[in-house]
Amino acid sequence: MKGLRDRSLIRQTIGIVLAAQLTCALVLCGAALLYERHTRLRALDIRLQGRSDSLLGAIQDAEDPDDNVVVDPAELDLPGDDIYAVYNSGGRLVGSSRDASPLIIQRHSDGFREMKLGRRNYRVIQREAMRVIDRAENGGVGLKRPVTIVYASSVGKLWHEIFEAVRFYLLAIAFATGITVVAMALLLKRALFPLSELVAAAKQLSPPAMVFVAPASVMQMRELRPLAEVLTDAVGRLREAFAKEQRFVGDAAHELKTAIAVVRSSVQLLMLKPRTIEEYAGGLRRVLEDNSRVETLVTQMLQLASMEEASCANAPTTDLGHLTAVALEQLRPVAEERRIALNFTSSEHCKVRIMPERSLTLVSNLVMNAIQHSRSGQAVSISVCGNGPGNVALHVEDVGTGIDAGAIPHIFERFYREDRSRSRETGGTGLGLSICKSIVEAAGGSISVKSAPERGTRVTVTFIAA
Amino acid sequence: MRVLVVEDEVRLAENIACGLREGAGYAVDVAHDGEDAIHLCWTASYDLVVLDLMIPRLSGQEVVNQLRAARNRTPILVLTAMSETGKTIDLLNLGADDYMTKPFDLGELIARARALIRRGKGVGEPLLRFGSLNVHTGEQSVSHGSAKVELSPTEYRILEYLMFRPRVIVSKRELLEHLYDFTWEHHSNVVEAHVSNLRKKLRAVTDSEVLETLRGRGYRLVSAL
Repeated sequence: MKGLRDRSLIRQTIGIVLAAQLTCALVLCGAALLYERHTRLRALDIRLQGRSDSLLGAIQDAEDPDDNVVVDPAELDLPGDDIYAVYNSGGRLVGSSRDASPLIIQRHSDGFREMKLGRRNYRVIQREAMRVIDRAENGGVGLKRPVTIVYASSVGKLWHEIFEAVRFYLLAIAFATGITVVAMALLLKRALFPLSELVAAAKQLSPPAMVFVAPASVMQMRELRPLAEVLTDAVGRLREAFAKEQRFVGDAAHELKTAIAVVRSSVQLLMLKPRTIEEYAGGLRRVLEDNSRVETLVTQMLQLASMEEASCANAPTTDLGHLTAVALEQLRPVAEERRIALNFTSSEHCKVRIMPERSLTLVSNLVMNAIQHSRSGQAVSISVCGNGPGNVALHVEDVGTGIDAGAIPHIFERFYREDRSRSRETGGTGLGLSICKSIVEAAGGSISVKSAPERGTRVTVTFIAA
Repeated sequence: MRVLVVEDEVRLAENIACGLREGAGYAVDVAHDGEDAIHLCWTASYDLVVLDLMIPRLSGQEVVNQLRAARNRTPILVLTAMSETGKTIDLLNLGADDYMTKPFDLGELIARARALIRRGKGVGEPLLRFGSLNVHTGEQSVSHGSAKVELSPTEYRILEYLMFRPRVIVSKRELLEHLYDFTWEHHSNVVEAHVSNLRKKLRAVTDSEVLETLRGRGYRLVSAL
């Protein structure tokens, strides 16, 4: 696992949930902040209104010829850091808070506005108001004195209060997130328990036994069931393949051990007692024959093994008719010795994609089989021809002993021999037809056998024409 | 002694048969499949069956089953190429007497065959004694006291067979059955001639009539005082 980043489903899931939760929290906080600010601003505005009303109430007649008004601070109970100013209808400043900054109390238009003074923010209200004074003296009507009031209050505290309120939310969210992480870690571990069970079941998988039983908890889990099913299926097939291999190894061991036992016993028999030169010579000849049987067996087993590992993907295009003729030339001495005729016919341009040495093995195995199952004086017919569109067929036909119907399904099995005792006399290894089948299938073709006892056998190999 | 070799590999069967004939002086018949083996066991009486496990038509295991089911007590030496000890244990439990794995040593096979035949006849050691007569089955030699008795192979085989059953009358037919395999042309007067020669040689070394002929009944070894 070097070079790969270690990732965890649990950690990833917790990460996703946390991200979702934090996004939610952020949106919530933002909304809370906006709402808090809105309500607090409204409250402040109402307060400003109220305070400016109080200020209005504190306006007195100045008792001077110009009918001025004055602000009597004594009657006011306003927060010390508020700033205010009152202007009369003529625009003259008639009163203001102490040290009122001219920037703040400068008149603009009516309504609320935000102002900045130094590092402090102020909320400012400017309004036109009518102060009625001396109502008692003027027959209940009183004197109307229009004034403009500018009242400002610092908002610094307001923001402080807003943040104070939102901090509560933030703390609550942080607490909830902490609990979520712990709970998720525990719950996810429990929810993912079938995965650990699956791992435990998979650990049982080792070559000799090859047992995989999907745990019930895994089969109940919709997401894991397909994985378990695929695993069960694959293990089943693997087990079959293993069993097949083991059978082959067992059979191969039996054949090899028997072949070696023959050689060994031949040598030991020769050494059992003193013999004549002629006896020794005959014995040595037999040992040599026995040894060549071991050689054939080993060669064929290696051929079969190499067939299984190498594919025919980049096989060259070869002329099957020509190669069959070459193979038959090599077999002719054997056939002549047994007085069996080889009749060969071939149509032109029968090209297939196959390794030349493999097609030689194929033809000689099939023809040797036919020769071994023919009687002296009989003939073996071999033909190579086009067979339907895009196909090339190789037929090998004899009129010899034939094969029992019950044996035909098994003849391509490795080490299968129709009649062991009889075949052993002919020197067969039981691998020839398996090799043929491997060769044909590696080249993408098919092989089939038709046979009747005492009437002969016809083997048909079909290739895709190149 | 007469042995049946059941082995489907023709060359191996030939070699085992030759080895048992030349090495132990036994009469040997060969069968290449299980059915032939069973058939031969019913028609002839064998002192040992050497049986390969993987044979056609009827497996070696089946042959053991059938023989033992029919109360045939002939010792069976199993030949196997299988390395699984489980199978061989099963076979021994079923009634086989011994087993050897291929490739085996021919000398060892002959030695085991001798031992199995001996034990099948209730004798524990390779040296057969009767009175002052000693028969070494291992080296196929006969001695009387310290003197060696020179016998022809057939004479030796007759004496060896009789030594396993001293004081018991052995019919000529039984001798024929156990000393000759199917490849031999057997005539009863051949046995008579060999027995007569054997009797003369034994009389010469023991100064007494050790081998008795009971007319119409057979032969018997009697104790030489």
